[in-house]
Amino acid sequence: MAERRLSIQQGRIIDPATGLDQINDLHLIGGRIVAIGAMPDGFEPQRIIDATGLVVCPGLVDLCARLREPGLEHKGTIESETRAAAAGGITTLCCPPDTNPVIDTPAVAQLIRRRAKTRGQARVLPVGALTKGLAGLQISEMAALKEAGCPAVGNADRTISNTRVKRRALEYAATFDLTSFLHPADHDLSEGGLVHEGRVSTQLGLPGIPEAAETVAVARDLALAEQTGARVHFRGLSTARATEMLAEARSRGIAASADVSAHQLFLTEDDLYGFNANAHVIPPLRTQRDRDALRAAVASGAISAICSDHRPHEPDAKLAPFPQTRPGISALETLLSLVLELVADGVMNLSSALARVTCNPAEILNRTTLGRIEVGARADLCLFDPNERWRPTPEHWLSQGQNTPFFGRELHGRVRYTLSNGRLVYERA
Amino acid sequence: MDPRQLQLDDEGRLKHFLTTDGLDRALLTEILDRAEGFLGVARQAVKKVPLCRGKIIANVFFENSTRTRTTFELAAKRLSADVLNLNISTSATAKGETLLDTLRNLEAMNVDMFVVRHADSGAAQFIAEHAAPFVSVINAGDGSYAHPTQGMLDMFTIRRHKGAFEPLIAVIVGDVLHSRVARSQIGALRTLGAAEVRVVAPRTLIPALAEEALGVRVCANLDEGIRDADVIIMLRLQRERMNGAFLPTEHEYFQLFGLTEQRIDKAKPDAIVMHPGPINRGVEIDSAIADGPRSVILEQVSNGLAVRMAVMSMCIGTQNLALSTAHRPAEVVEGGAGAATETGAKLEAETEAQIATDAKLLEPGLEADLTGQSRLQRWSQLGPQLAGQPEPDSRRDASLDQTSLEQTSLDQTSSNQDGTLHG
Repeated sequence: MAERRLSIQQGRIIDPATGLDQINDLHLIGGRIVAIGAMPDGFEPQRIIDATGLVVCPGLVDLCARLREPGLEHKGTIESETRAAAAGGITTLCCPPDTNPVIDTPAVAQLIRRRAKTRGQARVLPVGALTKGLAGLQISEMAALKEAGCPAVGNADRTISNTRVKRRALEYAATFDLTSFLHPADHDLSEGGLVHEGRVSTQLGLPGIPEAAETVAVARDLALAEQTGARVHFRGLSTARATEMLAEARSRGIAASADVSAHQLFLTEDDLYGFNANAHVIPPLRTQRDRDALRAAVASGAISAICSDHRPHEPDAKLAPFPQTRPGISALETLLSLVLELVADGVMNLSSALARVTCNPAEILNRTTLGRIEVGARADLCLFDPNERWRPTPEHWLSQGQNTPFFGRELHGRVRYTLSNGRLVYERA
Repeated sequence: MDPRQLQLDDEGRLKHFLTTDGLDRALLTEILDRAEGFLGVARQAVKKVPLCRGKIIANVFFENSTRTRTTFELAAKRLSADVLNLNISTSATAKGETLLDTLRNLEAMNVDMFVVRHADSGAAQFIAEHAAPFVSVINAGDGSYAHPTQGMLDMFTIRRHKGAFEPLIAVIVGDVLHSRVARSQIGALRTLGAAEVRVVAPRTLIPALAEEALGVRVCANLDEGIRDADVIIMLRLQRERMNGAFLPTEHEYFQLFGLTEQRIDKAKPDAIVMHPGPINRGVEIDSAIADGPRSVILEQVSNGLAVRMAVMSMCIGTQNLALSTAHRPAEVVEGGAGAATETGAKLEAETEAQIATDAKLLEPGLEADLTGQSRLQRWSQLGPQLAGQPEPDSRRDASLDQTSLEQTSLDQTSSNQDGTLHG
């Protein structure tokens, strides 16, 4: 595991950031890439990985993955979930601030980073709270949070219904060049809702979350971004209309970006039939038309990143009548495969698709050294077999949360090796 | 899970009754026909049939209800079952017990059927998915999703008054958004072939995409909605809707959507007025209508009993069939398999003898031709004729007979003959 000198030979190296796409060798010393192509003089690898037939890409950067530590260790731990991340080719992940205690003090941010360093298999970047206790009333000590390693600030899924507080929070974050991650949902319109308000909510008698819950919030936040000049990032869009609004705002130069949770590109409200608790997610699964528009927005770049939105749960969290179940999918281990599925479906080419999970999210985090393959860069790498077909099963699942609707579904492309900082953190024969 | 797969066994017999969704017309008709037979039980000197004798039926109500629970209780007792009534809303969940824990505890008492009411949509299906084999679940109302026995008793009432469903225009007035009753009624009316189903309410009480999702016509105006209607169903307006910005006042609601003498003139002269109860006089319906000649509201209550007996006996019948073909591990008792079988056979014989004696008490003076099967079959043959309905298709009918044979098991030989004669 701890080889200092390593060669990865004959892999198809794809680096979306630089446009590199060639079959070549990669040489690492002490966690850094020292050469692409010919072996440097005097380099004697301690281990050679034969990457013939594999794609070698930057380790994935995931903008939203809940590790559940501290506070909810019965759902997952930094150790268990970063191990799952490694199996999914993810080497950097951001955890939202809704831990317990909330990441609104440097101490909690440092605790998470320290634990990730000692027990983790991936780089963990905590997202700081935008408001104290995520209560939406008082802005948090963002300068201190940045100092403690938070690359961005956000309010997780908690809405800030007071528009004045939100405006001040965005301005204050902008003072320290921090991007604000925003949950695109209007508090009053989404309160009490469970699923997309539409055909299926009507048939199943489940309280709906209307499209307007998202568009009203996006409209408001875009107006605030325009007013303040602050950089905002919409964490998890779900509607066609909101992607249009975003694209229009970006064309006017507003500093707004967005990502989408991978499952939103595959599932729709129809997956709720039979009260399927594994399709209970936030924001809710919407219509086929929305799904298609999200795919188009990812392809056009209006939505520049795809994230796992990993939310592991203990079994009981999903073993209840639908309205009592907790939302979310355990998603680290399927992220790459789903992204590759988009390539198979003709939505994007391989390099563009990989950009959505590597350099693009790194750019949103303002950490442009991550998510790329360059001489001198840290060796965060994912090696995957693009042709391997597999079905996720509970027996071979590493996350503590087994809540996924993708068990049993055939997926294309699977991780073989993951290197984090030059260290082999996942390997599968 | 697909509710259709969940509700039916491999032969298409009713195992659980969770929703009318996914059940075909033949099965819904079978429920109605069977209920027609049970209507007579109330008029007998002894108001009982032995179809669920030896079974334990638990009314598990997570939401308060007196009327629905009472009719289920009475239905179960008329079927000779032992009945447990559990109001869980105040006990177990308050102590932090999960629904699944509550369920397992009841299963440990060897309950054969759960009649469940719960505030969450999908709760009955959840329970059915996790119930032990040979345990049936009947939905007595879950969230805003379904209340299928109410839906079917309304269909039963409509059929008794109107005969065929095909020419009917039915209109449902009121809070469709929150109404499980409306969803079950709409589903059943459409499956049974009603010509048109309309819903009338202000837009705040109509669910999203109702026309596409439910296959109804939405009218915002009661006069328009009621025109030429054969069946008018008024829904109960929950008082709490006044607080959630759904409606401004009861007064304005009644002005616009309350059913009054003047309004009802737009409907067909022989239109019937229904209401799942309890009614709010002067809020959704004028007293003169509720107590008037077109009102069938109280009849709905009596019919509810027959429909619930029908559904319960069908589910227990399906269970008995499955039990007779599968080995049930719980039946293995200490003292060796041979002894257990012997005791079991003896008990069974005694039970059958007892049931046969009871059957003779049902209609004194008519012992001569009396076995439970032939009586039941007379009912199910009589039912459609009474209502002016065509016979249900023979395949379905045959399976019904088999079900009833198994569950009554009064006299194996004569029941087989009856079965073949009828099929």
